[in-house]
Amino acid sequence: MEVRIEAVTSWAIYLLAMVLIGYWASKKMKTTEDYTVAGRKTNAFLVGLSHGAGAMSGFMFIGLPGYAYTQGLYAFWYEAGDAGGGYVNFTILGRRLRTLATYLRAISPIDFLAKRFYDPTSTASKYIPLVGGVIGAIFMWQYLLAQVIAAGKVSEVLMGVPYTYGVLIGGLIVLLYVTAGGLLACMLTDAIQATIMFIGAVIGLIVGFSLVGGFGGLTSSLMTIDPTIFSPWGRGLMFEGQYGEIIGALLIYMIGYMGLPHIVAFHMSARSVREITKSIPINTIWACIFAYACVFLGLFAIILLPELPDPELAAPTFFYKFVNPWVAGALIAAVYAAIMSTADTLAVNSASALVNDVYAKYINPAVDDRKRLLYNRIATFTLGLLAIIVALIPGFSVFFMVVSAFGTLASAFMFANLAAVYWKRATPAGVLASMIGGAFTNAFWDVLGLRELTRIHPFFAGVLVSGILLVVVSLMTKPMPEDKQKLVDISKDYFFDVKLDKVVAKCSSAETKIIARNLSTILN
Amino acid sequence: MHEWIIRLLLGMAISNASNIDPTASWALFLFWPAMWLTLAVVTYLYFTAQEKKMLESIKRRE
Repeated sequence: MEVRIEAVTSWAIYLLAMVLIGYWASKKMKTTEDYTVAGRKTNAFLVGLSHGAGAMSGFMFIGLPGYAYTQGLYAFWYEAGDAGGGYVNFTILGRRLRTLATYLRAISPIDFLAKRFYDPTSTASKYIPLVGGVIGAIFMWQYLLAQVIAAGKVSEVLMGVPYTYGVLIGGLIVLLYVTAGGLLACMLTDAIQATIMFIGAVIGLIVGFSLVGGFGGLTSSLMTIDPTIFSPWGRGLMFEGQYGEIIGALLIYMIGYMGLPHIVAFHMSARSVREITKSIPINTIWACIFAYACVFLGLFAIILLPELPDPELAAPTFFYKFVNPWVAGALIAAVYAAIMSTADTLAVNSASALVNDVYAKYINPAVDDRKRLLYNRIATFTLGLLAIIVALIPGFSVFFMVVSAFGTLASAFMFANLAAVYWKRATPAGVLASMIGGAFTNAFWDVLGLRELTRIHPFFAGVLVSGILLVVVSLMTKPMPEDKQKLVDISKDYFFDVKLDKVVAKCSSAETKIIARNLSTILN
Repeated sequence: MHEWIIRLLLGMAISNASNIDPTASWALFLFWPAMWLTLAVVTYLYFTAQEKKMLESIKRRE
């Protein structure tokens, strides 16, 4: 395939910028907390935009416009939910989780669950970090692998760069900046990537509407081609009467983000609850415009590019054909950016699950913070390298791996996260059963042929089993001690750290400040 | 009965298989981002007011 010089040049500039950001962020890394939750110092823009870019992967420029190209307006069902996924996550979970995670000094989403449900009298409590860490590490790594493979495919199809080089160059660059700069590098690059993705989608929207003759032109042209493009049941009424499919399409991305550890980590990184509040409109405006623009790209392509051999190339072909080649090149870099922004957060968080939740809790609890930071970096690099090596073996399905990993992580952790901040009666045994049951159900639902039999999507089966197990097992086991139950109230005390800061500020020397902070934390 | 509840919830009642109305379909799908954006603004204002109250009460207690 011919190498597209405009796209490759934009790609190279973009990759260089990412490495420089990683280098800059690496200077800020002093502790494990800096590495895994960006030192809890990020602002609303970083939180809101990172959530957008980290959650919406390369699928948005490849799979989604392709789906709209074949299914018409039905593709909006997915994005109707996805556009509000960030809103739901920040509003229902974000503020409470950020407060409690800071109070508990949790350094990863699984560490948060382990500390919230720690009970020396419960055997189940001891296994929460192990089970959570293993599930998190395996499925976030699977998700990462899918992103690396997608990066290779995109570079080959869109830029003419061979698959192997695409995987190696893209994968190693991500590893370089993530290993150096941790979650801060992820969030800074994610914010830039979100901006590039947004500009790309808006340019596509403006060019597309001007070419098809505005909203009226789009409607009349699509009606002439096939009126069922407008049906909420799908083109050719493919999903007529299948309410389960439509509810599934609507809900999966609306609620699923609350269970993904690599997305929940963004809440924990926020400087304060105010930043999470401010990130709500930032994320929602970004997501509504970006997500819907990607569907419109597919609809424009039905009219403007009727003979596409591969529907998934609708958006890239649209850019190449109707936009200035250099702008198109930059927009193709945006497609790559969408993939990398998801891959980087996955790399940091899968390593964090392994080092902080398994190694530091079971194998070497006495490990000091400097060593732990080093091990986090080594694990990030090793897991990423492993993903690159596996990605070089042909034959993996990106779509299957993403859907399966997303569903399994969401099924395992969504109810556990919600129970941690909302339900006093939740017990370690209930949370453990919910994590294992949810993950197992989602991972094996298809394999055991239960999807065919029941017509229920694996994600919903997983979430349902996870929720039921959490409630039933919790009610069957001994409630947690009073002080642990009170943590639910503390999750609503959004400014406990402001009170702490005021106490600390009154102290004169550095040493008394440390003592005051520790004492205040205990007394709180 | 439950089918009609689901239909109403999903907005399916405004567009059925035999009578496809593009205006109704646009309304059905554009309703969602409009709803999310409205909710985001309302929630932001509500949370901001709530947080302001909390911070003021901390100040008063001092």
